[in-house]
Amino acid sequence: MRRVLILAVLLGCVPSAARAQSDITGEWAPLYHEDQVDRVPGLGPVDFAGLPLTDGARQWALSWDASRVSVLEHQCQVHVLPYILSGPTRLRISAQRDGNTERIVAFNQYIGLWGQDRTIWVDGRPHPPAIAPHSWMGFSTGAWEGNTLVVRTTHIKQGWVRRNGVPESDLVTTTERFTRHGDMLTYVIYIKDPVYLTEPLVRSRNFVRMSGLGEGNWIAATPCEPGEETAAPPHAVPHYLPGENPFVAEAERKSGIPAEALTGGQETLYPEYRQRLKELRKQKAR
Amino acid sequence: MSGRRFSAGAPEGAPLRVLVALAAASVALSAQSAPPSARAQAPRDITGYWVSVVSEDWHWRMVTPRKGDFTSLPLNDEGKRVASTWDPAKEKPADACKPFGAAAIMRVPDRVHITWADDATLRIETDAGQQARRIQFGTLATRGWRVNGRGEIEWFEQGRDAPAPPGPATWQGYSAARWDLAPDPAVVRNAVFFAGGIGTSPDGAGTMVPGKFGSLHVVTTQLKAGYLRANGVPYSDAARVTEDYDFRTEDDGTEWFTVNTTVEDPKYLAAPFVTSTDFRKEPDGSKWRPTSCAAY
Repeated sequence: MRRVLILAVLLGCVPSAARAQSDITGEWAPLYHEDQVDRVPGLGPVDFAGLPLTDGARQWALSWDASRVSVLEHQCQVHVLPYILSGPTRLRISAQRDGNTERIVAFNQYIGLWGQDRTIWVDGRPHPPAIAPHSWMGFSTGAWEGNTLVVRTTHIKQGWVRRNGVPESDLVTTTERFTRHGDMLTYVIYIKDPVYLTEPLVRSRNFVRMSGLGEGNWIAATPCEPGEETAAPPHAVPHYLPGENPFVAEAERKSGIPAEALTGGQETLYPEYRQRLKELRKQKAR
Repeated sequence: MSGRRFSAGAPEGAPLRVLVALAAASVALSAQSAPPSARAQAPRDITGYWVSVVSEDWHWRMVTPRKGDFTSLPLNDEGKRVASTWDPAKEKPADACKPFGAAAIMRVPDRVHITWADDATLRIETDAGQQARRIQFGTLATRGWRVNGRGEIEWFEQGRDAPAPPGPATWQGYSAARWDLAPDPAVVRNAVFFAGGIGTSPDGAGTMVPGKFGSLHVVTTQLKAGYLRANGVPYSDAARVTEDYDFRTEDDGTEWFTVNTTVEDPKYLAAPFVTSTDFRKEPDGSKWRPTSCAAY
């Protein structure tokens, strides 16, 4: 052992943990060059194009009234994991080490939006049983595939995949990939929801490394305190009955996109749907 | 996890000169090995037919946006001015392929067919606009890794990017490429140990998935001026496009790639324009529908 230590000294090295992968820790700011409207101001009602929705999901989304967010019980619902990193948020990633071995056992993420903390365990622990409690951020484990941190998450609460009322069930699972390209962090999320999606939904986003401490760039997390916002009767749930959502026609008129496309579905995601759109527009013009 | 952790016990009795030689060889292995060919270096088979899955920017990709809709594009004043003058009625037949240039083509809803033209050249064809890109390896500075004196992985670039050969500007320009390969965990473990990481192992080693991983890095220049979006949002012939392709297999067995595209244009952009676009592999070319730029 003595010779090994001598070797280390000869090579001018201090024993330390090494990073075989890219360093993804630090503070990251989102780029909004894609899906900007969905992610920042938010899309208007009845715009589900490009989502592989089941009929049930479409019905749910069409019955959704934006006033729902004012209902006392819903006011403090945060964006669930499948959506939150698409939202207007900065991201801080840090490594959590075992105090005895100095090995990294987890990556912690602080998501500025709603001040959410999540832990991604990389120590090989299993996911809890299906009956374990669910949370907004779920339970996450990670593994490195080369320079990409691959994160699998279960136990996510019911929420939404688009914040204009498109639902996500508590059976959803996600696989996320964090890959660093220079000062860019590419984030890809693959969302599987057996209740509301007919096929997995994929989204990719980019974050840029923030330099310095950037204290002015962070918004302090404010605890959500629900309070009465409307004069609606207690426990009333704003909604639209089937066929009565007034925004279907409005969305069609404003966007010039036929309602069939705006109400989403797997077929709207593929190049050949452009042809269908042309046909629908021709029919509309007649 | 503990079974994959490096043990410091094995080399204890070895002569010092052997250890030094091993250390040198281990580090050299990662930094200096000459790659056989770009095709052989590929971390996986990326050939085949791939379809773009349009779950993002749907309103700006599946239909031509309205004139003056620059949403999310970092245009400078000149870029906005030129985009505002777009008049589809004045487009000439020669302009039909403007939305299909290399700065925009991977964002077009289409299918791509990837093949190896030879051991050092990838070919990416699109059915939309019937474009063909040639991705040439061997002319960019190579990227490697080594273990530094602190027992950390350090990335470095070797050589310089060769200038694009003289030639006319085209819709797809001249694309130079390299593989940015991730270190092999086993080689890293050895190199780190010999560089002083005694009794430690690379972070997250317990959950490192063995295999060959890496990105395809592509830089494209010599572009003919075209459109970033079909509604006349311009990029100039000074534009430079940098792409990183990350290939993967999801747990359900489907194969995907995400291409991260950065467009820099001193003439029309105030900042680099960055998008990431997702493609899924298809079993065959049965859905391949070549369409001319004008007919798309």
